[in-house]
Amino acid sequence: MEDEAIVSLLFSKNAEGLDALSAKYGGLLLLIAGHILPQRDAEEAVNDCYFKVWKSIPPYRPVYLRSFLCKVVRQISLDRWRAAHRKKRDETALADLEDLELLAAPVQDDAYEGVGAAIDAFLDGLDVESRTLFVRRYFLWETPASLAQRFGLTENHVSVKLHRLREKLRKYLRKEGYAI
Amino acid sequence: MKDTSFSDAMGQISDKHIQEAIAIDGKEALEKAKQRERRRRGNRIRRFALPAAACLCVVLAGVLAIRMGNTAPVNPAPAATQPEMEQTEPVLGMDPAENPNSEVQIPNPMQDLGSPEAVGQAMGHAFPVLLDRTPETCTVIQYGPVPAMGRVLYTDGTELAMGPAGEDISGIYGGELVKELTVDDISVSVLTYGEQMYALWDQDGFAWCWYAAQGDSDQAALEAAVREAVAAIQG
Repeated sequence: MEDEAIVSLLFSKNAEGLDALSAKYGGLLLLIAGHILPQRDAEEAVNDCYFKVWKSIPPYRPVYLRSFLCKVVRQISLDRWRAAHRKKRDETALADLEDLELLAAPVQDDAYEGVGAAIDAFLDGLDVESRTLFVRRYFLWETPASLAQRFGLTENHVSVKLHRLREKLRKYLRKEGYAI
Repeated sequence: MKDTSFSDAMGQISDKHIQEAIAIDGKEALEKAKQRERRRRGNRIRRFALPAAACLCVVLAGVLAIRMGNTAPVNPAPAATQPEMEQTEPVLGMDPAENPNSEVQIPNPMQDLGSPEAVGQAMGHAFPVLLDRTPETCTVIQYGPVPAMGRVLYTDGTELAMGPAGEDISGIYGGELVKELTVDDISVSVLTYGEQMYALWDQDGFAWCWYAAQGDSDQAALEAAVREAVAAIQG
């Protein structure tokens, strides 16, 4: 079923919309949640995601359903992970040690969406391979090993590339006036 | 001042980056995306280089015309001593510099051919005839000895173009990839740029581009039109 049809069903509060959503995107959502949470928690996060989508449509009508779902399940999974690791107050377990510095670093931001827009502009300036690796790693939480296998690269190549991209982003954000 | 975690900030990136990353899910898709990027960069250079070259030609032609005008006698001799009439008319095969009355003409690269069949004949591949669509203009763009592109604009504002295989013939730089479709084993990219939605694919040794009508965001209609075009090209 096309995304537009699914959104229309959800908009008219027809439960078939949820079935179609689950059939089409359940695997992808479970994959994203599974990158952050253990399997059982990931399944619960996906169910929470369906519930949140059900509540928010209507009035919200997503233009790109797939990326909307990815954002929702990602945020729910992160919130769940944080709740489970509240005592640690860091995000080290989410990523390899080499990623720690950037992931855990708070970015001082007056306007919450400002950093997101700055990262968007940074991504616009990258070549398609770098952009894909970066988004798959830091938005979809795919591991360097999985990225290497997916794109026929060596794990070392992926790690080095991601390291350089992080450095580049750090410099870019500083230049844009963000303290990181 | 508020602290935002980097991972939260990443959650705010635009949909186009997420869509692109999910669509590029393997080595082959990545290679295709790289090729598209290279083509777009090439198109960007061509977009600036072609008008610049055309401007240069016009300027050179103007300078040449002025210089030739200046070489004509300031005070022409009496009529009796003027050259014969046939000498003042442009003579085919004569060097323009020797022919003060010759005009510099830049051929129009756009040729209106009147029908999709004629466009197909010029391009060397049958141009599909689409049911329920009436052609408004059927043109071929030709800079050199071989036509570079054939286009048919329909009365409903949609358009189908064909050009050399492996090239992004849309003429649009910076289009945003919305979806990758497979129609009869042919990979079709659906893109948007502002209010323009269009689709690109390679088929039968040519690149094809379908443009939805300006401002028409009906993706399902575009996909249906692409399917119809792909089937019609296959004959």
